[in-house]
Order: sequence, then structure tokens, then C-alpha cells
Amino acid sequence: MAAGPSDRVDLTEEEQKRILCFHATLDTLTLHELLQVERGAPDQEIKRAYFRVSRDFHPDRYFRRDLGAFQKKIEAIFNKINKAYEVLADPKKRQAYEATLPTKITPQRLEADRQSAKQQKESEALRAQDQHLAEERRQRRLRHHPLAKRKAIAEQHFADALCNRDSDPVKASNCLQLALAHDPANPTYLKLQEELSPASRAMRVERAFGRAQADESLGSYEEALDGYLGALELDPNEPRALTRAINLLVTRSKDRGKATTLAHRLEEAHPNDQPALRFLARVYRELGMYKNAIRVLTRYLGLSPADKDAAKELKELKKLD
Amino acid sequence: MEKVLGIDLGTTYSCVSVVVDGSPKVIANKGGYRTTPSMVALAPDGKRLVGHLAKRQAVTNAKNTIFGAKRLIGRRYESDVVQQMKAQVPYAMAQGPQGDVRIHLGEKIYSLPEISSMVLIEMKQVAEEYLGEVCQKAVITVPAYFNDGQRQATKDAGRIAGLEVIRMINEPTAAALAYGYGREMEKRVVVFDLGGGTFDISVLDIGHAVYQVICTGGDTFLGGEDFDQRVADWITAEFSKEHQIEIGPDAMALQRIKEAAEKAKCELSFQNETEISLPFLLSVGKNKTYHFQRKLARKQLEELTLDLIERCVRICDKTLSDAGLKGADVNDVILVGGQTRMPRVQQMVKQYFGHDPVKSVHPDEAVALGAAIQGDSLLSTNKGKDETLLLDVTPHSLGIMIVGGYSQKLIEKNTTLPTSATRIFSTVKDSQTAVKIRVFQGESRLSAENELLGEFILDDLRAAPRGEVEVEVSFQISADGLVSVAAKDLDTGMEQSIMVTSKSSLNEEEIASMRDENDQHLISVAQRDEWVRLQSEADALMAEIQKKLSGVQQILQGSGQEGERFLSKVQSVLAISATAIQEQDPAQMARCLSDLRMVSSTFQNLTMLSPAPRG
Repeated sequence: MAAGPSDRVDLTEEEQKRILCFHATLDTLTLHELLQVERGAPDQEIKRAYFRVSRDFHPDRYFRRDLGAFQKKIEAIFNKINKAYEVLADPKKRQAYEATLPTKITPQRLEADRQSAKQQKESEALRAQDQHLAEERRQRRLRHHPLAKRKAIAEQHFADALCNRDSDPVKASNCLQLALAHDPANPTYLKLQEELSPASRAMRVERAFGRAQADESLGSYEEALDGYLGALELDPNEPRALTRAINLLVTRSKDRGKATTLAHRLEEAHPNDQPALRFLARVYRELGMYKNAIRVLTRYLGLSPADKDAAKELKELKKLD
Repeated sequence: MEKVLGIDLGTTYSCVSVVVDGSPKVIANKGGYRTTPSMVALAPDGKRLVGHLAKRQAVTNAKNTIFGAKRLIGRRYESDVVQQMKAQVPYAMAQGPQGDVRIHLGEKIYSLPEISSMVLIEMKQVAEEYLGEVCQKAVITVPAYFNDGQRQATKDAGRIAGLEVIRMINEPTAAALAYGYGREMEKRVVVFDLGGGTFDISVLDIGHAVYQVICTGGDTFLGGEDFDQRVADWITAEFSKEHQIEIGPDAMALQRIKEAAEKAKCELSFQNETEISLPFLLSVGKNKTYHFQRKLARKQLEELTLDLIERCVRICDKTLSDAGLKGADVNDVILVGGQTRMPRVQQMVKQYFGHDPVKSVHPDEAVALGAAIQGDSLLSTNKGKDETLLLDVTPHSLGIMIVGGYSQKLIEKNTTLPTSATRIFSTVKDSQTAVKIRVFQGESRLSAENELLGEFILDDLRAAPRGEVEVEVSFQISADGLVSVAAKDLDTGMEQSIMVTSKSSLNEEEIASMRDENDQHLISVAQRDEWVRLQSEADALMAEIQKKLSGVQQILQGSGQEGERFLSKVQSVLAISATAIQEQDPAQMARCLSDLRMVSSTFQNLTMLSPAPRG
């Protein structure tokens, strides 16, 4: 026991004993025993008992006295007394409480039984409570852990990506990008990324080219050019995009430098594409690059010797050069 | 055992009591008055007036006479009731630094606790004069429905007055205490307290010197002053109707009307009709003066104030029904407060509770008596079985603001004090080092509709991922009804520091400096009184000496040098005394007094020994 009778506190020995006794039995006694009333006591009796016990343990009784360790004990006792009164004074609460108590009263054995049962229950409850609290805390920490949250988001996006993998590779690819943004090192994600790359890219190029073509047909030449160039970023050697882009560059924006660059690229990427060659010849001629035109046209004629017009053109070009 | 004063600091009147030889007594002041008006004024000559002196000159010095301070103490300047009062009173108010109310008195600005402290000092002096000893401890009463801010401000007023307020108790509880003191009883009583400015209703169970409050309700801005105001408004309106002219902001006229209204109201408690006579009430220009002379019937007064009485009824209804009680459940009805003398009020109470109120309780004195009883009981070391015990309750629920602006109740109203509740707070962001808690008092689910008690900031938390730092905060309400907050870090078990902001109360330095100012004032008053005493004694002696001088000169005619020396000394003493009086020099005056006394007694001896001068 912690504090025994002491000279330093402002309490008589009797007072100290009474406080210690009461405090020790706070949890083992029933509320009735705490207030010192019979079980079937009428409300009036309960109130009287509450008043009686309050008089002994209300803090005012010890006003301005040096209580040392007894202060907390007195506070605990008065707290419990108030709670006991709160329950026993309210008919509903009292009924509910009394239902939890054992019905037969055999004084000696009951005391012993009650003590051990209560102690066991208490220690079990405490253990369970501790465990429960610790578990709760751990869960809470995990839940609040910033990484856990991100992982969850990444998983969500990955699931979306998987859903759309076959039907809409572009969307799947986008979802996968998001998933990777939240969880970059995940091997499963990376594997899927590899899988999706070629197919989706082709789709995307196709889409971009289609949009650019639409723009061009509507007369939005600048947007069309941007569109073609965008498609070319995804697939630098796409012949149709190159062709259209070069066309626009030469006829509309008059950007000879870029046109030339793209023309070279077209030539290198598709050396045996006859329509491309034919087109390039015209372009080079337009740009005044006769040597290039001759070169291209010569190669074209190598592949399609029967083209009389092309042959005629070649002769003209040679004359110009 | 040191004496503890029981002080009823009322809105309109205050009363002081002390337990002498085991029985509580109300202390009357020198003039024989057992209650003192709660008024403070600054006279034109710069003197501070308190109590009856202040009330007497209220009409001529309306702008510098402060009344009703209890209706303002502990309130925010921007609240409706303060603004309402501002429009009605002749003295000037301003907003204080923490949003509280400050009063203009002369050149200075005072906080409300300071004004109330002046009344407390007066009550303290009344007690000290009667008892012949210095009193430093007191129990001060407050309306049961006062919130934490109002209680704290009242306690500050006590401290500024140089009193150690060992407890604050609720007025209805104090009255019940006075009622049951020395009598063995087991009863359920209701205290209906309608005072000058506040209304409280409390139901208590009394059982062999234990007083348990079951429920309590009220209105801290409903009282006799409002009844007076109704009559005053009626007078002003009738005057305007009759003379086709507005009274306007004429402070003196308004104050006269107010006093006439109060007088009429009181008279109508004993008569069916009264005459209100206000000659020369308003003067316009040089020649036009207007008078007011009218009869007012009791019935008219009742009509004018019916809604105020109905407000009381509604509060009674709510308070009782919230506790599951009916009016008929009480055994005794106790009336407290001057306004309960009004017949209509008594009629209403009797109807409501089904009983005649008890006669043994003095409505003006019971509260102070109860306070003295409680003070005596707390300090007595011999707490026997019959020692009184008060089990009082908190009148407002205590809650904190949670997400969405809602108020979550931690302690319900009508919970027995002292009480406490704990709650665990946690951080919501990583590395959060401070948590702010806003505490409210009130019943509404929305924080905005409750009274903000204060903002408590827990800072210096250790930086950690969110949710990891847990702090256990305990909210305590003491037996005085004052709220305090303490915090403990759960992981380390260490006490956490708490900073309180936006509580509109005075800090320690302000209280200390106000108390010093009061001490200075008291010292200067004491010095002035002392000077008056010295001067009057000197005057009396000098007059006596002057009268006898010619006779003594004759007697000493033949005494030669001795006589001459003596006479010239007398002259110089007279001269020095005259200068001392003129220069108001107390030290010099004290010296002169001893010389004057010496001269006077010598004169007496001379005139006694010699026969009457001849011819």
C-alpha cells in the first residue's frame, strides 16, 4: 500500500484510515454498498445515504488542508460516490444496474467469490483493453501512414488500367501512368507498361493523325500542322504525317528549314516508298533543291521505270540544274 | 478563527454579513443602513463616492455616476445586452482591449472588475469598522446562471479590492442556506430570486445540513431595473404625448425620471395608486419649462411589466421540465430579491408552485447571510456531523468545438460540482506541433450560439507523424463554477503546457496594478480623514487660546521676563499653526498640536490659580 498514516498531512489518523479503507474497496463494492444502502432501499433512503457519505468525502470537508497523496484518493472517492448516486437515483439506470448483480446473498462466500471473480475479470479486461488499444493504435498509425494511402491510390489506378487494357489501350496507358506516379518502383506496373507501349502508341498516333486531318479538311491549317507534328513526336517516321506536314510547311507556313528536315527524314525512313518519292521530288523542286529532286526522282524511276511523266520531269530537272 | 465576510454583491444593492458567535449577522454601516447601493461616482471636486453618497448625487452628476455594473461584468462589448444598456445609461462605455467593456469615469477609464471592486471595498470597510479588525477573506455571491467569464471577472473584482475570495457561491443556494441554517429539516425547496438585474430559479433538496441543488436556470439580464425602465419609458412617452416635445438626451431629466419610476414602482407594492411628480422636468430655451404630474395605478404597472413576469414563468417551466419536475413537487418556496415584493410577482409564484412563500427569509439579506455561513463553514476546523455541505451544480453545459462548427458536450448542465471530464486529442497533420481547442458554455449544438469560454492552445508537441501524438486533456469545473483545463501527453505522461487566449479577463499584472491604485486611493482617503481630524483639533485649541489670551496677558503683567518670553512663545505657536493649516502640512501640524496643547493647559492652570482679574 502506498501511503500509510503520516505526520505530514493535515488529517487525523482516523480520517486517514477511513479514506484508505474506502479507496481500497472502491471497485470491489457494489454501488449500494458504497452508499451503504440496502438493495431495495427507497429513493428517499438513497438520497439520505448519498448526503451522509458526501459529508465525509466532499472536498469542502478538507478545505485548505494539506492532503498530500490523499487528495487524489478523496477526489476518486467523491467521483465514485457521485456516479453511484447518479445510477441509483435514476429508476431506469438503477434497474439496469441491479439486473447485473447476483440474486442470492450469502455473506461470507459471496465476499470471497466476488473478490476473486472481480479481480480476474478486471485483469482480463485490462489485458484485453491494453491489447485492443495497442492494436487500435497500430491500425491507426498504418491508416494514417502517408505511404499506405498512396499505395491504395496506385492500386486503384492499376485496376483501372487492367480493365481497359484490351478495349482502350490509350486509357489503360494513362491509368498506368497515374499508378506509376504514386508507386514508381512497382514491378507489376512496370511490366504492364512495357506491354502497353507499342499498341497504345500506334493507337495514339492514329488518333492524332486523324484529328490533324480533320483540322486540315476544315481549313484549320495551323492546328492541323501542330497535330501532324504531334503525331510525328510519337512516331517520327510515320509517312502520311510526314507527307502532310511537309505539304503544309511548304505551302502554308513556308517554313523551308523544317520542311527540308522532314523531307530528309521521309527519304531516309521510306527509301522505297514510291508515292513518297514522287511527292518528295515535287517538294524538292518546289524548294529549289534540284539536286535532291533529281536524286529522288532517279530512284523513283528505278522502281517504276514505266512512268513516262516522271521521266519527262527528270529530263526537265536535269536541264534546270 | 479568522473572520470571513459574506458579501452579496448585487446589481442595485450590496450587503455584507459575518458569523459572530455562531450566528450570522448583517452589518449595518455608520448611517444604520443594512444595504448599500452598488453605485460609484466621481464628484466634481474629484472625490470618489460610493454607495449612498453616490446615489444621492446621481441626478445632478448623472454622467459620472455608475450603476448596474453587474449587468456588464464579464460580458463582451459587442453583445446585444451591452449595446442595449449603453443606449439607456447616462455614463459612457467603451470597448476594452480584449473585447470586454470599459467605463468612463471622469478622465479615467475603468474595467468592470475595478468598478465592482470599489463597491466591495466599501462593504469591506463597513465590516472592518463594525468588527474593529482587518478582514481579508470573503465569500462573494454570484447569480447561479452566471457563466465562467462573469464569475472570473467577479473574482477579479474581489482580488482588486484586496480580498481573498475563498469561494464564490450561487445566490439562490446562499438564500437556501440562510433559510435552513440551524434548523433540522428534510425538504425540497425552490428559490425564486428576482433581484435588481438578474433572475435565478433553483430547486434544492435540503437534508440535515446538506444542500443539494437539483436544477437551476435563469436570465442574467432580467431584474428590477427592467421593471423600472418600463415605468420610465411610460413616463417619457406620456410626457411627449402631453407636451408634444421629446425629452432627448438630457441626462439629468432622464435620471430624475428613472428615480421617480423606481419610487413609484416600490410604492405600488403597498398602494393601489401613486402620484408621480416631476416639476421643472425639462427646460427649453430661456422661458419654457415643462412639468410632469400623473397618477399611476397598480394595474397599469402590471400591464407594463407583464411580459417580464411571463419571461420568468417560461424560465421556470423550462428549468423544471428539463429536470423532470413540476411546480407542485416542492415543499417550500423562498423569495429573494427586492423585486419579489411586487404583488403580481408573488401572486404568480404562489399560483405556479401552489404554496405561499415562506416568511422567515429576508429578501434583501438572506443571500449575504448564506455567504457568511458558507465562509464560516469552509474555514472551520472542527467539521462535525452537522457541518453544512453545499452540493451545487454547473448551470451551463461545457463543450468543445468540433468539425463543422458543432459543439460537443463534455459536461452536462446540472452536474454536481466539483466535476471533470477528459478527452484525448491527437494531431491531424505530420509534424504538427500545436493543437487548438475552443471551449464553449451553452446548450446549443452549434458553437456559434454558445458563449466562448476561451481558446486553449497545446503547443510544444513533439513532431511526429500524424495521429501518433496523443494528449489527454481534462476539463475541470471547480466548486466556484470556474473552468480550468489541464493537459498530459499520453506517451510520456508529462504535463503539457496550455496557453489560454481570447478569454476576456484581466491578467495578473493588470489586477496587481489596479489593486495598487485602490490601495493608493484608500491611503489618500485615510490621509485626508486624518488631516481633517488634526485640523479641527487645532482650530478648536487655537480658538480657545485666542479667547483666553487677553485674560492671561493681564495675569502675567507683573511676571517680568518669564511672562514676556511665554507670551511671545504663544504668539509664535499660533502663527506657526496658522501657516501649517494654510500649507496643509500634516507633519508640521502634528508638532504644532503638541505645542498648542501645552499652551492650552498652561492657560488653564493660570486662569485657575489666579483670581478673576480686577477692573
